[in-house]
Amino acid sequence: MTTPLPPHDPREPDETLPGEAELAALYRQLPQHEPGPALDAAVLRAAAQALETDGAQRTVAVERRKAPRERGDWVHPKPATRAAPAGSARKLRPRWLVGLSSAAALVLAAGLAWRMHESPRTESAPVASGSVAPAQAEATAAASNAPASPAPAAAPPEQAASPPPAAAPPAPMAARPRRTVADQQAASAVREGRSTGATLRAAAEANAQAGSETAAKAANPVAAEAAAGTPSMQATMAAAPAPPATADTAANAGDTPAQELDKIRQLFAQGHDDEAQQRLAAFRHAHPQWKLPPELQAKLRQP
Amino acid sequence: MDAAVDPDAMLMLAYARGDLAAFEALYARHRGMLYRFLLRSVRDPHRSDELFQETWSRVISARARYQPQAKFSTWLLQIAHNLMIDGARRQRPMVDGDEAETALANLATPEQDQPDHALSEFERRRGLQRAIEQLPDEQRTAVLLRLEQELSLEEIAAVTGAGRETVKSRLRYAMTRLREVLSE
Repeated sequence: MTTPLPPHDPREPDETLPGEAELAALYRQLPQHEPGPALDAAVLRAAAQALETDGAQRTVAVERRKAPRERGDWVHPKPATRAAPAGSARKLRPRWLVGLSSAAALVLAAGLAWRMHESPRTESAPVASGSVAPAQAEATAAASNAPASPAPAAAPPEQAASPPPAAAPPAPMAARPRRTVADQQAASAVREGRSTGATLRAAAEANAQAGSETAAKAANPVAAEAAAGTPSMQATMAAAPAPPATADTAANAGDTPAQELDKIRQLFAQGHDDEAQQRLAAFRHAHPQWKLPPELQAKLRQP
Repeated sequence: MDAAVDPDAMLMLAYARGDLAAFEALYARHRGMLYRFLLRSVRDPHRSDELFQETWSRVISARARYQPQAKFSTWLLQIAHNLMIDGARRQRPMVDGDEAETALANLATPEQDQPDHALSEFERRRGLQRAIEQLPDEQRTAVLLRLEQELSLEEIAAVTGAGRETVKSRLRYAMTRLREVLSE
């Protein structure tokens, strides 16, 4: 832009060329032309306008420095340049909001997916262990200890195969874990029952209570779903035809071993020794490890 | 003259800070010599007006970047010279010969300078003017900067972008030619 100063000092007399003084004197006598007033006005007007532009830019810059920081403008908090028009700031804001909303939507979707993935495991356990699973486990344990009753075999195939109305629609996904948990608890109950008879007796009593609560279970859809998953003995027995014996001593697959033994005692007491012997033999066959009372043990040993 | 104490540079710096009066003073000091330099170089009044205005526009635009590393007049003439060279490169035909003489003669001349009372002096000035116009461009520019602006060899070299000895040689040839014309 600017020219460096020459090494020669201009204040020192420069080297004078031959005839220069005469030519210089004659040149100074030439007409001294000057620019016109219009040209002067144009130049001065341009200079004034340049200063006005500077003042306007400086004012805008100062106002912007004094202004609060624009929201979302972290890259250029307060630049000294001219403030951007309102339209550009408005264009930046949606871009920022779109990014934030997208991230929030992703986090929400991931959380919901994780929650849905975890919910069957976390929610089924208390439900299964609360009301349905104990009853189902007791029923399964009783069924496993009960003799192979001819009643289920005698039941009509269509009735045995058809589940209760509550089980007609396909079971939802949440029912499967519950069923699995109930089966596991039933198996554990069976193991416990094989080890201790007292526990089985208590389970039999509980099963009797559960039998009385069958209607309530039918009203409960969760219990119905759980019962529909396995071929429940209760459902099968409910569909079986009534046996020819009296109601008190009739064989019932839903009976616990203790109840069956009581009925066998009643049969012996009523004089139906043949039927009692058959049922006692069947009981012994079904429950070989069951410790029989001494009087029944004696009856069993008799030919 | 030291650029640091150059009053023109001080005025230019004051204008850069927003002092319009400083620019007006600066313009008043240099308007005549710049206009004459341009007029006698291009020999076209309209072209001279354009170059004159364009030169000052460059000065105004460069006010924020101006640093007084040289005399203001040298910087101003350098801008004008570069603009003039750019115009010549664009093949803009220059007025020369009798047309240029007519154009310069038609410009307003002070009444006291009219040749009615001093015909011999008039003839000499007219002869000098024609001789300057007939010089090659580089020699004419060097002579005008020397006689009109009274610049040193180094300053002329800075304005024209030539070496000092080159400027000196151009001036020698130009002045020899002018003396020959005037002695005829």
